[in-house]
Amino acid sequence: MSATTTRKLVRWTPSWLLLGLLTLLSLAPFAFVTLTAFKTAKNYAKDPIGLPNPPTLEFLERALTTGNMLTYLGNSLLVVGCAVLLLALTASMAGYALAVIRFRGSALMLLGIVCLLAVPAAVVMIPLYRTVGQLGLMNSHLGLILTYTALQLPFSIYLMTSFLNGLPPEIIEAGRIDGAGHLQTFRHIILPLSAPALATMSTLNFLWLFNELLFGLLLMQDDAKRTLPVGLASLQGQHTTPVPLLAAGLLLSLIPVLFVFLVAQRELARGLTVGAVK
Amino acid sequence: MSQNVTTRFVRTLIPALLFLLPALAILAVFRIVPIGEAFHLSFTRWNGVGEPEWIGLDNFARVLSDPVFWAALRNNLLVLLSLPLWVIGPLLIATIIHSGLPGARFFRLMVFLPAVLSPVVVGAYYNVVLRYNGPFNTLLKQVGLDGLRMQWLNDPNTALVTVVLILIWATLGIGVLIYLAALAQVDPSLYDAAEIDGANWVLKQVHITLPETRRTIEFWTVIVLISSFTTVFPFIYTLSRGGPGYSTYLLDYYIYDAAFFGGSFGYASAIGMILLLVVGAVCGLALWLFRRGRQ
Repeated sequence: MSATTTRKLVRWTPSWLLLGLLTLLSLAPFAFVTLTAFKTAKNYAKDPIGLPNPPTLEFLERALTTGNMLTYLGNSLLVVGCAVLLLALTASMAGYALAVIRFRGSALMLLGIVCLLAVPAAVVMIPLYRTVGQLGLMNSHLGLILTYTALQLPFSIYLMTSFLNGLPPEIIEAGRIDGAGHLQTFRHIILPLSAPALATMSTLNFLWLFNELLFGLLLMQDDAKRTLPVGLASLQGQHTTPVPLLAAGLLLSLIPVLFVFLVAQRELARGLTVGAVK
Repeated sequence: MSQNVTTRFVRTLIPALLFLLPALAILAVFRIVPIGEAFHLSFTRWNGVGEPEWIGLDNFARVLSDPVFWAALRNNLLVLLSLPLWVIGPLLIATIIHSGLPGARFFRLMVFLPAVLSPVVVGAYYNVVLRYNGPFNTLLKQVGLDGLRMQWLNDPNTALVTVVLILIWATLGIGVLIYLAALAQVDPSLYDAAEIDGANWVLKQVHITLPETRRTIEFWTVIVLISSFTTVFPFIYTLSRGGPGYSTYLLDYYIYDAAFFGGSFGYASAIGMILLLVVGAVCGLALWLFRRGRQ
């Protein structure tokens, strides 16, 4: 090994140590819940960090059956899926109005919408709880779908509008020449052009809403209607819950998120850095 | 205004409003009206059912003499002490990854990984891992660091610090990603020129990285400021429920607790209004400092 290579290796060692430690911390939750989900309660109490000995499927089975994890997962996928689709439609329409049609005051309206991002969820949760109750949407999927849509609309509209503002105007004009109306321009030109922005936006909306606790907790009090984070939090809140059962629930909840992470990292990176530079 | 201009204005406004209608309707009912309604409720006594009863400024008077409110506000301000680590930590890591050390792509992926976890998963995981007989203390014992074993989340002296470190860890990946996007825009020749001038690593960061990524640092600071006040609820709910005692009570958790456990929905709304003011004041102060610093 040459002297320069050795010097480089030495220079990189502190960085490797720091990043290696962070890597361990990042992987630890996955390793811990996977190992623990296959342990017996006694095994965990005796050895919380070792390999399962003997391995058991008891708690994974319990999480799926009496733990209702599959029901919670189904509720989450239904509510979040509908909200993500509704967001894609409403935010791209709003983006079209604000970036392509434009009118006097459209910039101001966008600013107003973006300001909603800074309003804490804790401030609106009480009136929202009341409104949803008054509309008869308590414990209904629809109530949570609309609440989630409203929660993510400011970010989604901002993302769509800045994406459409960045498109060269000639592309949009070229499609307009044959006298197409707004509806046709939107459907046949804007929507196909927006595919990458819609993918980014939907990935982020999916993750955030799939992980959301507060509104799910308030608006879905019926056990059969709960979303996955609410179900997990309630499982975790009971002191009698054996740790391996909780681990099994966490493991099941990690699968969809891990899937999104592996498939759509690039979308995530693109969406999270919108507006961050300059 | 001439007839022609007016017609054109109306002709763009009507289709624009039609395209905006679905989004605006949902925002109005589920976001904008509730903000006004929260303001109204803060002047009432309301137990969650029936009609709110107007009591004027009583809720705000009660806040002043409520020790739990002051404990929560103090904790929120203590969390702000961690701001330097929260802001500069991700920048340091992004700088290291950006320097192109072998394995950079892998490390970027690994550092970002926790950011996709649900706060509920993060909270439930650390709640179990940091229990006295849990894995972390067991690990400490096995490597011979017996003396460091602690009731991490159950001791009032360590609970808040532990919660803050977990919060920083959970948001680290997003910060790194945002800083990496900023670092990609810095002209590499600046570093080469500094290298020729004999600048060491620290000097290069202070004189090039910090000024060149200044806007992003400011952006991330504001995000962290807002999040530290408004997005901690699910972490507290799963990590500590505000305990032991009130040592990890934070304002947004207290609002939830006062309303949905204490049954004081009007009082909780008043705390919400105060939270809104505090967030506005802190962000306003930060933006004012940034502007002054730039001049």
